[in-house]
Amino acid sequence: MFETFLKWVIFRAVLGLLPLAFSAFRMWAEHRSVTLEALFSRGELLLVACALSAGGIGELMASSAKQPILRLLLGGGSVVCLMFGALTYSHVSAQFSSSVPYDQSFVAVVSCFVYAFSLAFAAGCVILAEIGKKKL
Amino acid sequence: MTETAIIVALVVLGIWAVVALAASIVAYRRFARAEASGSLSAGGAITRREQIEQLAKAVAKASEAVESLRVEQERLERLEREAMRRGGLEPAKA
Repeated sequence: MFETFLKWVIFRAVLGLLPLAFSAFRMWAEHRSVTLEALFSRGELLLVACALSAGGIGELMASSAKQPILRLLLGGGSVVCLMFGALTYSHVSAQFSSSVPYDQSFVAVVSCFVYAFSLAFAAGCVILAEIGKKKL
Repeated sequence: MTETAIIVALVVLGIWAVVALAASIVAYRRFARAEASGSLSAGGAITRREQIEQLAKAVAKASEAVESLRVEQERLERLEREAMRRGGLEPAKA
């Protein structure tokens, strides 16, 4: 269980953030200020959150876990996060491409929250899927 | 207005996420405890109630076996007595 969870944390949750980490590193190397606004204002973190949520849904669908309420809670939450992230990203990218001014710091904060919630739901999905695998 | 709606949605989603994650951790802890105590069968974790039911079934089977042995013993004793009577012998004393 711990091994699976660690694998998920390293290869899904942490490595998914690597492009953003490199972006932050580049900003730091160019002596620009590394802020949440500068990093996440275009909604890149929302894409990572969507990928995490989709992975969690996949884990849950493929599992044979028998707790129906927990499955609904986690699967439903992941779907909501996925939809919320996708809709917000499409909105932000449309505004960015059409050069319409928008509140960048608000988008950055929302992105962080959506990522955190996606992480929580996906972690729950992985835990439940692992219980289902072990019960087989 | 839109920002307020998004904040409300985020708050709801946050509560939901915390509850769901906590519930899954609790489920895992229960599962790990059941696994550690060795009460996992091939079909999955069994509850205390299921354990008691299985024990009751085993006891019922054992008492059935004892009862059938008693009936068989009585039948053999009857046959022995009949054989003795026919042969004109006294039945052996216990």
